[in-house]
Amino acid sequence: MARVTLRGIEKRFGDTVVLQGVDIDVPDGGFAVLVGPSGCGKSTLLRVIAGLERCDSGALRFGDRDVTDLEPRDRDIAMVFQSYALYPHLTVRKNLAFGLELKKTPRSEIDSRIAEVSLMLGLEPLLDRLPRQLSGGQRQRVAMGRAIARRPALFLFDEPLSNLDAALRAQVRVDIRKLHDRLAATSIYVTHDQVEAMTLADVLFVLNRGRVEQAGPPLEVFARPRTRFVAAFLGSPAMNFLPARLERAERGARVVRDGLALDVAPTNVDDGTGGEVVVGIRPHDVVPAESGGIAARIEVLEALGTESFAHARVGAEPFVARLDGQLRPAAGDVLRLDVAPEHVHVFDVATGRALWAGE
Amino acid sequence: MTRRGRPSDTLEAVLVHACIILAVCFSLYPVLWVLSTAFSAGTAPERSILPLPSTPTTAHLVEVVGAPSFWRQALNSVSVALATALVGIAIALPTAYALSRFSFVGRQAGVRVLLATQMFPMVASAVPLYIVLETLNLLDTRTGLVVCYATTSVPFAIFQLRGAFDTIPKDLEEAAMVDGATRLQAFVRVVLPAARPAIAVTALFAFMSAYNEFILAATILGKEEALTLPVVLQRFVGEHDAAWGKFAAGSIVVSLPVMALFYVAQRHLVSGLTAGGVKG
Repeated sequence: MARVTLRGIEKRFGDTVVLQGVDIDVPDGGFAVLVGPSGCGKSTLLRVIAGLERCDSGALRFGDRDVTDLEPRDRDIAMVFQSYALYPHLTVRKNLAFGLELKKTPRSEIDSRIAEVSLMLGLEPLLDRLPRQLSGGQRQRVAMGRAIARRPALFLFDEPLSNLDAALRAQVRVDIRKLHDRLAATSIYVTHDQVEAMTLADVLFVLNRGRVEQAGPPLEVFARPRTRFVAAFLGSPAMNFLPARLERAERGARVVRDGLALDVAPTNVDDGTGGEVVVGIRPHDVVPAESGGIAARIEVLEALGTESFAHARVGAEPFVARLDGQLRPAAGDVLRLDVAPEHVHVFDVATGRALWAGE
Repeated sequence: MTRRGRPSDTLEAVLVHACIILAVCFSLYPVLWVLSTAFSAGTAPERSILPLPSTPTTAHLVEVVGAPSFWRQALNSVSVALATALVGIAIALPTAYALSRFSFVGRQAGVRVLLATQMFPMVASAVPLYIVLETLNLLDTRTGLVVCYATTSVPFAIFQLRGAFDTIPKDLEEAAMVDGATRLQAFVRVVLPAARPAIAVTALFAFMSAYNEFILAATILGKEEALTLPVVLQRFVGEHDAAWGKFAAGSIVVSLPVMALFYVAQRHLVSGLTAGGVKG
C-alpha cells in the first residue's frame, strides 16, 4: 500500500501541452478521482502514473519510492482499462493468473488467489471461458479481478464503467467502492462522469487544460468551487451564472442585477471594492419565498414527479430552478425565489476565480 | 431460414445459382482435364469435349512417383518452401512490429523502399541473382534458392503482419506491461498469439509462392537431384517429346501438399480471434 505524491508533472506531445505542473497527493489507502472534460489531460496523467507515458519533467513517488523513471512492471501497480484489455487468447483463469505467472508466483499461491478473487467477484462459472464468450459486465469483472489478484500497491482505473449500460454502471460503481473499502488499497480513478466522481472519491481532483483546477473532498469541492469551471462542471443541472454588480454592505455584500438582489455570505467574497462580477447559483439552492431576491419568469416547467425544473429568465438571462413536485407555476408566471447567502457564489468576470475572503 | 413465396425471390435464386454453377464449371473444367489426362493411356491429351479417360490407367502416376530422384526433388521443394516461409516470418515479425508500434527516424523511408522492391518482378533480378549465387557457390543449392525467395517473401510478410499488428489494440500490450511483462514478453505472450491467424496466412502464402515458383528455380538449378518439382514438371514436356500424361500426373502429385496445407490451415484462415479481448 502506498501514498502517491506527484510534483510538477509536465507532459507535451509535440507542440501540445497536455499536463502543466500537476501536483497531486493521495493518502495511503485513499480513493482519488481525477475528473474533467475530455482533453483535460486526466487519462494522460493516469498513464504517466502507470509508467506507460514518461513525463517531461516532475517527480512521482509511491510511498518512499521514487518511481519517476521506473518501467510499468517495476511500479507494483494494476490497471483496469476502459477497453478492459483482456488477453483474447487466454481463458478467464489464465487472464487472472497472467501477472502472477510473470512474477514466478508458486502454483499453489496462484490457485488460491484465483479462488479468492473469483469468489469475491462471482467469476467461478466463467473461469474456463474465453473473453469473447463473456458479456460486457462479465469482462469488466474479469478486468477488475485481474487487477485484484496481483495485490498491487496501487490500483489505477481508466474510465472502467464507460462501456456498461446505465443500470449496470450504477451497480458496479457501488461494487468498486465496496471493494476499495475491503482491500484498503490506494486507488486512482479517472472519469468524466461527475456522479462517479462525487460518489467514489475520498479526494477529488478536477482537471482542466492540463492543470488541477481544484482538489479536496468531493462535497467540499461541490460546496465551495474555487473557479467558475469547477462550479459549472459539478452538479446537474449545472449552476446558473448571471452577470451582476457586487455592492458592499455593512455586513458582507450584495449582488444586484435586473431581477436579482441577494445577500452574499462574508466567506464568499473578498474585501475588495466590488464592481462587475458573475454570480453563480445552483438550481437546487433556490427556495420559493414571497420576499425572495430573485424574480424568475417561468418559460417551461419540467415536472419529474418528486421535483420539477423550472426553466426561467432572470432579466434577460436564462435561469434553472429546482422546485418541489407539488409546485406547478404556469409559463409566464413570475416566481420569487430566495437563496441562502452562503449559497451565492461570486466569481471574477475575467479570471473566473471565486472571490473568496483571504485569497 | 428459408425464403419462399415471392416470385422475384425465386427468380433471383435461380439466377444466382446459374451464375455460380457457370463459374464453377469454368474454373473446374481445366482441372478435370488434367485429371483425365493423368489417368489416360498414351502421351497426348484426349481430344474430346468431356474430360473422361477412354482407357483409364495409373501408369503415369506410378512412373512419376517411381522416378529415382522424385522423392529427393519433392523434399527439395518442401524444404525450400518451408525455409522461405520461416525465414520470411522470422525476419518480418520484429520488423512489422517495430513499424506498427514505434516511430523512429527512417520509418517512412524504410516502408517506401520495401514497397518499391515489390514493384519489380522477380525475373528482373534473375541474372544478377545468378551471378551473386555463383560467386557465393550457392548455385544448385537449396540455401541459394531460399535466399532468393526470401527477398520477396520478407517484404510481403512485413506488409501483411504490419497490417495485422495495426489492428491489435495497444491496450493489450500495455495491460501486459502493467501486469509485469517486459516489452518483449508482451510481444511474445500477448501480441503474437493475437496475431496467430495473420501469421498463419502469411506463412502459407510465403510457402506457396516458394513452392510454386518456377523461373528462378529453373535459372539457378541445373543438377537433377537439386531440382524442385515445378522444374521437374516442366522437363516432362520437352522440345522433342511431350509426356502430357506424366506432366498431368505430376501436377496432381505436386498439388496435393498445398491442398493438404489449406485444409489444415483453414481454421486459422478464419480470423476473428482477437474479438472479445477489447470490448466489442
